[in-house]
Amino acid sequence: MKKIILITSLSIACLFSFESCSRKIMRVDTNEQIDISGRWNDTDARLSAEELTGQILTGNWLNSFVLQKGKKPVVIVGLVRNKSHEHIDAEIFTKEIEKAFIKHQKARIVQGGKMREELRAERADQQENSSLSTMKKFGLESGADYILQGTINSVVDAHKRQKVVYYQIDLELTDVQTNEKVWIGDKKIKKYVKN
Amino acid sequence: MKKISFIFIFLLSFLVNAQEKTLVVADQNTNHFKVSKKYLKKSASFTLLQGTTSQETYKAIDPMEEKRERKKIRKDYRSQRSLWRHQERMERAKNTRYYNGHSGSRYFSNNYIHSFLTLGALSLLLVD
Repeated sequence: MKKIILITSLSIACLFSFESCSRKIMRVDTNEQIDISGRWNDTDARLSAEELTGQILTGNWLNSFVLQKGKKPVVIVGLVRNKSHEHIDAEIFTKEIEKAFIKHQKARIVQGGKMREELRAERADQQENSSLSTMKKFGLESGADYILQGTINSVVDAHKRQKVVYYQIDLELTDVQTNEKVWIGDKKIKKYVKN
Repeated sequence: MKKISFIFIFLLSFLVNAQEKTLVVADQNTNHFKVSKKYLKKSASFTLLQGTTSQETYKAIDPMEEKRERKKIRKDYRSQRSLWRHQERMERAKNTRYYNGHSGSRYFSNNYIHSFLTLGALSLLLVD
């Protein structure tokens, strides 16, 4: 009897110990706010994307361009400089802006950077390998009217176990022809972290 | 022959000049061709970064973060110690004839003692 009790208790103890060590993973809603370390996270990126997309889509620059030129503006996404103290990838919110432009048919987006180089390389390859009826020509790309550029800045104030972090994301849209800034949007985030 | 080449160059320069002039629109700076040439050379270095984020981060003053970093460095160093010891042992096993480890220091210490003894003897002689 004693043996049986001992074996069962040991097996239960083993079971519990294994369970405590096992990793737990579960899917959560992408809009759920989960703050773990206090650093820049998905919630901050999502909030920035929502705010900046809303600001750029409702800006006066869009209507004035359409009224002046009678067509949708062509936008290219430029470089975003992260001058904060953390690694932040701006592609999360610049991609959201691009998606919103295409979804709401407010502006035309042209490819830039390495992907554009890839496109040109493909076009060059077509000059040798494609049939004449399907071959795409050089020199017929759409030139961008505006370029979207930005900066990410942060201010940190820390003492002992307390910390206040302030992030500011500034995006600006500039006329490629005249260098005139037609829109500036920002998102400010302030966090209080207590360790 | 010289005349022909001279006429050809003259005509070519005239054509280029005419082409440049046709591209100029109202109020456009006439030096635009020179500037575009200058930027064409280095445009690739800028345009390739389009749509990306350049990480120009700085290190913030945060005592808690610094403490965490120091702890991590210490932990990494400790975890490497056994490997270093193993490597040292392997090197020693490979090269048994020459080993400049403890024996060297012992030799040094012996020398050190000897020098002190001689100094003592000299001082005794001087006192006498």
